[in-house]
Amino acid sequence: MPQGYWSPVLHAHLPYVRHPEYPEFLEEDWFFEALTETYVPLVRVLDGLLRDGVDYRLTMTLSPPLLAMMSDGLLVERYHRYLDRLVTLAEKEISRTAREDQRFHDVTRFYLGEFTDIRRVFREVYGSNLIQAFRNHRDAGKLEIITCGATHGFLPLMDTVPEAVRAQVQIAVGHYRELLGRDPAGIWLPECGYLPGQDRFLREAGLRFSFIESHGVTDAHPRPSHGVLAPIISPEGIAFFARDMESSRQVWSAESGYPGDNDYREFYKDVGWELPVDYLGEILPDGMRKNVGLKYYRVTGKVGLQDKQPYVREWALGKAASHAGNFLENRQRQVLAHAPRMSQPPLVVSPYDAELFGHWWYEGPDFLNFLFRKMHFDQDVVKPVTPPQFLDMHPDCEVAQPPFCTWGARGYAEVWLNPGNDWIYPHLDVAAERMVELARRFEWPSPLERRALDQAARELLLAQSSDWAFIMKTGTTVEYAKKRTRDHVARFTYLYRALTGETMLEEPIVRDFEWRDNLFPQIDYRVYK
Amino acid sequence: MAKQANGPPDSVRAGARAASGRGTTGASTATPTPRARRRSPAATSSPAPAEPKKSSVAIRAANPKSPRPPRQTKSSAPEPETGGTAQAGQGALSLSEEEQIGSAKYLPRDLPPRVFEEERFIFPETYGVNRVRLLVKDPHWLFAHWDVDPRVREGLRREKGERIAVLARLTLRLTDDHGGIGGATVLPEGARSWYLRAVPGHRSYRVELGITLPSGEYRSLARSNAVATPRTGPSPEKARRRASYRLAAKGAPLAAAADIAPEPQAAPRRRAAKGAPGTAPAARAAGTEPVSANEPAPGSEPGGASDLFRR
Repeated sequence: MPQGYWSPVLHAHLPYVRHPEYPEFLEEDWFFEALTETYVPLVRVLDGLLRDGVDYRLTMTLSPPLLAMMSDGLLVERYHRYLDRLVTLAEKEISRTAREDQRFHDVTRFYLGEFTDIRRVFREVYGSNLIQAFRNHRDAGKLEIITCGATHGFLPLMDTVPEAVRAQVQIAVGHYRELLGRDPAGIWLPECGYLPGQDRFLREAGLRFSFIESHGVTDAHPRPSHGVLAPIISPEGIAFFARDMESSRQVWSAESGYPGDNDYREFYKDVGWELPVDYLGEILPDGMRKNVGLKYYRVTGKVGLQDKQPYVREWALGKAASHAGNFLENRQRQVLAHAPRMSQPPLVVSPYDAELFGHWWYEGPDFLNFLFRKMHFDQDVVKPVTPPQFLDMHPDCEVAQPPFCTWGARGYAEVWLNPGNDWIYPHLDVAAERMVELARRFEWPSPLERRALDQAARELLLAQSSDWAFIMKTGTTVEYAKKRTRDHVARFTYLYRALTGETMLEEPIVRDFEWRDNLFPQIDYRVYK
Repeated sequence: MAKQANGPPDSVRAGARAASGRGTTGASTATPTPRARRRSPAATSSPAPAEPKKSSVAIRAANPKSPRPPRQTKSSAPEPETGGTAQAGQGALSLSEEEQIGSAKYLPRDLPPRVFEEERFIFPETYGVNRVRLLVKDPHWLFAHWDVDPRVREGLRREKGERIAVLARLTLRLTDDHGGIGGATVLPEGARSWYLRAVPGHRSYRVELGITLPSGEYRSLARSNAVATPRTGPSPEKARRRASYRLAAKGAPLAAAADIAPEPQAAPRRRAAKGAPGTAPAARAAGTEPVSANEPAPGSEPGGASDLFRR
C-alpha cells in the first residue's frame, strides 16, 4: 500500500494556426516542432511503458485546437513535408560534419536516427493519426485525457458575457466527444484561470474535476485542512486539485530546476541561425532564418553562447535518469512527511505545459520514462494516479470555495490583462455580446444564414484564444498575434453586419471564411443562446 | 449609430479566395495577391543586414539573438488603431519563469519585417452604445472599459453649447456593495479604459460611467457588471463539511454547499478606492441625475457568471 500518490498532468495546447492561403507559414512550425519534440516522443515513451508492463498513470489535456490540428489533412500533409526536410538536412549534416567538423558528427548521427524514428512512429505506426495513439493509452486505463476551453479562452475575463464562457466549455466537450469517442471527465481551465461561479458551466457540461493554482486551495473559504495535498469540492460540486509548488519548481525552474543542467541540450543554439542560408536550403522557406530543430550544444554552464560545448547524448541521458531518481526521492520524502498527519494518503499534483517536455527541455520525455519505470519497479512509497482514480479511492472531500486564481505571474490576470494587450477586451466583449444577440435572433435561419452564424461563432472563438494576449505580453511574435485578433474580429464583424442587414451576406465571402478558419466543422451557433 | 470604420472585408472586393502568397516573406519577395496587404509597422524599419557570404559552412561561433532564458520582456505598444488607453498604477511588467519558458512555444522573436495578408479592418472607435464593463485584474486592481454613444456629446452640445460639450469629461465612479462611493475618476480625453485601485479581500464592486460638466454637474450614462476582488491569505474559518465526490458527480450543486457560511466581506471604508494616481481630483458627485436610456433597468444589470454565484 503506497504512503501517498503523485498525479502528473501535462497540459498540451497550441493555438489553432493553419494558413491554407500560404504554401508555407512560419507559425505553423509551432505545431510541427511540438509534434517532433514533444507529442510523438511522449507517445513513444508511453508505448514503451505499456509494452514493458509499467503501471504508469498520466493526465493530459489535449486542447480542442490541438486535437483539430492533429486531425487536419492540410497540416498533416505539411508535417510530412517538414519531417522529410528534417531527415534530408540531418543526412546532409552527417556528411558535412564527417568532412569538416568531427565534434558534431555523433550528434548529427543521433539526430538522423531520431528524426527517422519520429517519422516512422507518426507515419507507419499511427498512420498519421496521433489522436489514435492517445486513445489507445486512455483505453488501457493509464492515460486520463481531459479537455480545455474550446479555443483556450481565458474564462475569468469573459465573465461579462456568461454565454461565451458556457460556449467555450460546451463546444470543447462536444469536440472531445467527436474526436475521442466519449465524454471527458475533467477539464484544464485555460491558464488555470478560475473565477467563482464559472464552475457551474463545468457541472452543466458533465465535467467533474479540474485543477487550480496552489493559492486556489490554500486561500479557499473555509480553509481546507490539508492544503494542496488533497482535493476539495466546490459548492458547485466540482473537485479541484491544486498544483504542488515544490514538484513544479524542480522541473519548471531554469535556474534551480533540472532543465538548466549543464549536460542538457541548449535550446537557443540552433543551426537554423548559424549555417549558411543557401546550405540549409528549402528548410528555410524564403531564406528566412528560424529554428530548424538541430541543436548541437549543451547548456555547458553560465557562459556566453559562443562558449557552449558540444552536446553529448549519453551524458544527457545519464542526467535524465539521475534527475528522475532525485525527483522520486523528493516525492517519497514529501509524502512520508505529511502522511502521518493526514486522514488519507497525500496526493502531490504536478501540472506542467506538455511542451516543456521535449521542446524546451529536450530530455524531458526521457526523464518521464525513467521516472515512471523507477516508480513502478524500485519502490512502493509513492505511486502515480489520475484524479478520477484518486477520487474513487478517497471520495470524501472537504467543501470549500476557491477564490479567483490563475497560474500566471503573481497568480491573477496580469499576464492577459496589461497595457500591452488590454485593448483587445472591449472588442472581444462586444463581439461576444453580438454573438449572443445573433443566436437569440435567428431561430429559423436560411441555409446561408446558418453557415454565416456558425462561422461567426468560429471567428469569435478564435479571437478569444488566450495565446494572442499572452504573446502580446511576452513579445515573441506580436505582429502575428495582433493580426490574428484583427482578422477574426474583422470577419466576425462582417458576418454580424451582414446578418443584421447592414450589408449584403455574400456566399463567396462566407465560403472564404470557412476555408480559412475551419475549426469545429460541427459547431452549432445556438450554443450561444 | 456606430461609426463604421470598416468596409466589407477585402475578399468582398476581390471576389475570390487568395490562393498564393508567402507567409514568411519579407517585402522584397512578396508575391502580389488579390487580397490587399497591410504592411506591419515594423516593415518600415531598416531591413535586416544581409547574410555575409561564407566560403565554408562552418557553424558560427555565436548567435547573438538567442538569449537563454529570455529575460527581457518586450513591451508591445498598444494597438495603434484603438486610440488612447490610459494606464495607471502599472509597474514594470514581468514574466514568471514558467511564462518565459512557455513563450518558447511561440518563437522566434526578433523576426525580420514581414508582410501579412490581413483583413483591412480598423477597430471601431465606438460601437455606438453607452456601456461600461468591469474586470478584475488582481486583488488590488480592477480594469474598466467603456463605450459612449456619440449622440451623448451631440445632445450636450445642443443643450449646453459647444464650450460645455468640449469641456465635459467622462467620469468613472466606483461603488462597493455597501453602497459607498469609492471614488470618482475624471478621465482624460480619448481614454477608453482605466485601471482602478481596489481593496483586496472578497469585496464586490461596480463602476458607473458618467459625464461631468464644468459646473460639476454629473450625468450617469451606464453601470457596469459587478465583480469581486479575490480573498488573499488563508480563511480564518476551518473547513468542517465533507462531501462525497460520488454524490457531487451526479450533476447537482452540493447540498453541503448550503452549509458554507458566506464569507464576510471586507469592512467598508469611507474612501474605499481612490482615483488612479496621476488623475484629476475626483469630480463632485451629485448622484441625483436621472439615468440615461442606456441604463439597464433594475434587475437586468449586465453581469457574469460570478454575479450569479454571488446572488
